[in-house]
Parts: sequence; structure tokens; C-alpha cells
Amino acid sequence: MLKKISILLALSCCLVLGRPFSSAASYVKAHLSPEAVDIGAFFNGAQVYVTGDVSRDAEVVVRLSGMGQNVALKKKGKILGLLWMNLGSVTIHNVPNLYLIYISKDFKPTAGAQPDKWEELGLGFAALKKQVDISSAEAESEAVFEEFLKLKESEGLYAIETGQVTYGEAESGGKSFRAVLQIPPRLTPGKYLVETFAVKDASVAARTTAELQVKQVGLPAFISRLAFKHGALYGLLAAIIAIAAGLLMGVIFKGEKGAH
Amino acid sequence: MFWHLYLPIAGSSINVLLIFSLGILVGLLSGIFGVGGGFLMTPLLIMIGVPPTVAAASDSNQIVGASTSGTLAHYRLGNVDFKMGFLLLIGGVAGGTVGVQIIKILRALGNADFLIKVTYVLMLGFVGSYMFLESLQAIRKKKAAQQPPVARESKYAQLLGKLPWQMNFDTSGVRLSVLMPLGLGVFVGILAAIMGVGGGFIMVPVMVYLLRMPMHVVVGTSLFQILFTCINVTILQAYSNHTVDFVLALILLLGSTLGAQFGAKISKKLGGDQLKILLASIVLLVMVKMLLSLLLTPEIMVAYKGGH
Repeated sequence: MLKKISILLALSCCLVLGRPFSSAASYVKAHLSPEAVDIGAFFNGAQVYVTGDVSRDAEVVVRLSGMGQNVALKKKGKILGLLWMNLGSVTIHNVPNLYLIYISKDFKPTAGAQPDKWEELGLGFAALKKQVDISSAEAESEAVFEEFLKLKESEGLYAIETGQVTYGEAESGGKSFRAVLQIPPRLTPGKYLVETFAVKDASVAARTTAELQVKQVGLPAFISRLAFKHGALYGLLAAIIAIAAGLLMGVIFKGEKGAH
Repeated sequence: MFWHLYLPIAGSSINVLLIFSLGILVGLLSGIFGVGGGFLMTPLLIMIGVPPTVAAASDSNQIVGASTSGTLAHYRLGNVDFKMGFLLLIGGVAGGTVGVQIIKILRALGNADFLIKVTYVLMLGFVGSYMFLESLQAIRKKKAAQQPPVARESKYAQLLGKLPWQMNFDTSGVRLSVLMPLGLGVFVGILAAIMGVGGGFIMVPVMVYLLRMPMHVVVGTSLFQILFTCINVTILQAYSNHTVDFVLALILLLGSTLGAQFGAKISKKLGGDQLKILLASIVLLVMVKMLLSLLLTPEIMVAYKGGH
């Protein structure tokens, strides 16, 4: 029995590994620029570019994803057949805070372009669902994940962005490509993973990764440090500055009134 | 690009002009009616994408500024009853402490959120309708005949007269037992803690109808009391939850302090009954919105935990 399984495994490995070789060495080379995004006081989203080349017969898919984290959610339900309220909670484990896929204008995973083909590719939201762990009954977790996707999409943190990948002239071996990664303004500092895939015949033929560093600088960095390391002092300062601003405004207005 | 600022605690960038106008609007309401405006501002902030906990905490920071400015403006107009304010405040702090414990027990029982929302709808509905009808009647009476109001001793007034420790409140022009503001302060404090708001919109009707203070003094005194409540909340939230976004609060504050100054002037120009009707309409509007959120099917069936 064990032997059979190992043979099967070995065979499937051969199949998977064999593919790139059979298709005359599909490849993808990518360069990320810039490699870091700074969040300053006036930050309002950013653009990051992935450029490189890929084998001529393959398509490029770029995935930008954040670190896995655990997200606690409240579930909404109906009581008395009339009133909506939060009924119970559920936690999704190991789910990225950001998950953006960039594809070209007419990229289709396969001819049919059904959503489940993303699953075959191991990309898209279908792949994400396999990776996460939901702390609720099996039957319910499907629905919870769907609603979670809606929530993330409404925030602009999960998306499949079409038309962001463009190709240059085809040369002998490959073609150049350029992907424009729109980084949303609602961004938390940390490490992000940029993966570039060469997709051919409905499977991933080659893959390369890079890391995108996001950090706060200047005023946001200063305020975050103060707020998280010296909470009491921060709160006190916030209250005092608010009172001062209120008094100042009062004084300005009194001057105006004194004139009449 | 230029008009966007990044909020370090909320973790997102926002349009400065949008936040500034929100501030002016809420400051105006605060100056006119003597309410903190938390019951309006927090939902609006959540609507433009600020996380609920950050929205609530930063809003209390903003109210500190707005109510300072508002209290000062009303003090100059002679509209702040400090004696009454302090007594209400003492009661409010005690009530708040009790309220937090009640919330803990309700959370343990499981259905706290639902109870909070239903309390909200009932309170807002009752207070709003009562104020609205009462002021409407008063305005009609005035128009019908300019007869002087008949001084009648209701049962409530008789009861008030019998309570011990009677005291004169000169600014408000009333004579009351010390127990009244203390007790009502406790009551509002409990409700405010349960509902997670400053309590201005409950305190105002309480002062008008149960303490029988004149509307203009009510507004100033309410602002004075809200100031202290919100200083307390700001420091506590910053210390234990790290949810006060100072950049957000500061922009709101610039708008709301400005609005509060204009509000105080408008308040002086409007008659007491008109003020009451306006406030009653806003309270009823919020009540309807709340009720709809209970009745309509939500678009997304899950929400981040930690909001209120």
C-alpha cells in the first residue's frame, strides 16, 4: 500500500516537474521596482512595477499577497424571523490581509474561464480557500468564506485586476512584459510577497518571487510609535491638544465679537 | 493627491476636505444642541471606511476639542450652570462604572449587541417623539393666544418639592434637591455606558423635562459635562486599546471647533421650542436608521469583530 502511494507520488512529481521541460523550457524573469513602499503623511496608495520577460507562449499572472493572519468575524443572523443581529463569531486562520491578482486584459485561465479553473491553476480566490482554516462547521465555512471575500473586496484589499499586464514585442525565445501593481491606500506596514507566474496550458509553468517592504516613515511612523509604546502619554497629549485647540478657537472668535 | 492624508492608527488614507466638512457639520450640531454628536459622527466615519473602534475613540478625542470650544462660547453667553454640571458629572461617572459592569454581564449572557440596539431604538423613539410633540404643542399655544402660562403644580413638581437637601441653582433659575441631578446623572451614565455613547442626546431631554432647566442653559451645561466624559474616554481608549487616531481627530477638531462657535450663535437666535423640535427630528431620524439596520437584510453577512 505504502509503496503504491510512493510510486504514485513519484509519478505525479515527474508529471508536474516534467511539464516545464516538455514545453521547451517555459520561463519567467521578473524585476520589481521599487522594492519598498514608504508610507508618509501624504500617502494615498502607490504604484509598483514588475517588468521582465516570459516565454512566448505563456501568459503572466502577478500576485501580491500579505502575511497570513487570523481574522475574527461576527456572523449576522435573523432572530424572531424579523430582526437582524450578530449571532456568534467565527475565526478565519492564516488568511492574508491583502490579496491582489493582476492579469492582462484578455487573460483567461482556460478557454472556458470558469471560476473553478482558477482552482486548477492554484491561483485566485479558490486557491486561497484551500489555504485558510475556518473555525466553524464544514457546511457553513463555505458561506462564511464567500461573505469574507465580499467584505475584503468592498475594502479593495482583495481583487482580480484585469488589464494591468501588457506585453511587448515577441522575440525569438520570449516576450517582454510589464505589470502595473496598484497598491491600495488602505495599507498596513509589513512584508508583502510579489509572485510572478508564467501560465501555459492551464497550469503554472514557471514562477518567481520577490519581497515588497512596506513601512511607515515620518509623521505616521512617529505617531504610531507614540500611540503603541506610550499609550497613556499619547492619550493625555491628544486630550490636551484638543482642549488647547478648542480654547484657541474660542479666543479667536471672542476677538471677532469684541469688535461689534 | 495633495488633499489626502494617511491615518497612522486607522491604517488608511482619507480625503482631508471630506473629514473637515464632517467636523464642521458635527460641531454645528454640538454647538446648537449641546450634544457631543458621537451618535452621528461615528457611523459617518465608519461609512467612509474608518474601522469602528478607531472611529469611536478618535471621535471622543475630537469631542474634547469641540465641547471645550462650545462650553467657552456658552459660558460667555452666561449659559453654563457649573453647580448642576458638577453634580450631574459625579452621578454620570458613578453610573458609567455601573453600566460597564452591566455590559459585561450582558456580554456573558450572549445577546448584548441585540439588547444595545433595541435599547437605542426604544430610547431614541420615546425621547424623540415626546420632545417633538411637546414642542409642537408649545409653539401652537403661543401662536393661538399670547396668554401667560398658568402655573400648575403637577404631581411630579410636588414630589420634587418634598425631596430633602433642596438647593438653589441660580444660573438655571430652579430650586431642586441635590439628589435629583445626582440620581439622573447615574441613570444617564448607565445608559450611556450600555449604548457606548457620550449620552448628550439623553442628557439634554433629562435636563429639560426632569430638571426643568431652561433650554439655553441646558445646552451649555451639557457641553460642559460632555467635555469631562470625553477626556476620560480618550485617555482610557488610547491607553488600553490604542484606537485614538490623532491625525483624524485633529482634522475633525479643526472643523468642529469652528462649527461649535457658529452653533452657539445659532442656538441663541433660535427659540427654545424650535431647538427642541430640530433636535427631536434628528433623534427620530437616527432612530429610523437604526431600526432599518435591524430590519433590512445586510449586504455582507459577516463583519470584523471589535466594533460596537
